[in-house]
Amino acid sequence: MAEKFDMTRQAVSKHIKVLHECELIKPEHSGREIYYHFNAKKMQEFDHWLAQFRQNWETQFTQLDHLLTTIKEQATK
Amino acid sequence: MNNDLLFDFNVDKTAKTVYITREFNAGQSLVWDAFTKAELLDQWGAPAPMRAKTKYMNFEVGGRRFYAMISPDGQERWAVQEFTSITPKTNFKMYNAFADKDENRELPGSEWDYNFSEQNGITTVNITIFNESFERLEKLLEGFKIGFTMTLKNLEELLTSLS
Repeated sequence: MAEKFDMTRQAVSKHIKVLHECELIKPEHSGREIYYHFNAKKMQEFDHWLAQFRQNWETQFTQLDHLLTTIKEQATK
Repeated sequence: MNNDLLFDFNVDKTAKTVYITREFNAGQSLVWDAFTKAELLDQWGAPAPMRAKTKYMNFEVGGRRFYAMISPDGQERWAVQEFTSITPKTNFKMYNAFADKDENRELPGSEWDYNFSEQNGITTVNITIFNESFERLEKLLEGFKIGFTMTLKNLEELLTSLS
């Protein structure tokens, strides 16, 4: 794996550790070997989180719409 | 009233970049002010019920904005924006990083690029957010994990109150 991605073994294992901590991959022990599986359910949760991030922006921009309307109304008074 | 205004939100996970496009029913000059003046930013710069509070802002190249997002229960999340490039009314770039209340930054942060253009009285704002490192993505995921844990905790409390 380290050869394929042109990085050190330590770097690969650090990336795997983070992905594992975030539960984006699931380990399966088989003797001395560990097989990692992609956790699609967790990725879906991440997408859900991104949707909330998008929702925050939508809320802010709506607030800005109101502010712009208020300023424009004040200017024409 | 503003239902016909464009809003586009895209995430390119491999490029670690978020793209946002939004139209506003106002002139470019006013929209520019709303994004670059502290007293206006504080009126819309945090999604309700959160609110934004700017401690100071020097909108010039090399200048900074030090501000907080405050939750209804009074928790403050501070951040520092450093302006790296400004072309009045059309473009500005900044480097954004979370910080503690004493302005010590938690690096790395993210690079923000804002573009403004106007056509027929409608101003379009394009925002590109680039997260430079894998660690930053880690941090986003970490934030997600905390959020998820909080949701579970709320559920737990709800179940307790119902039983």
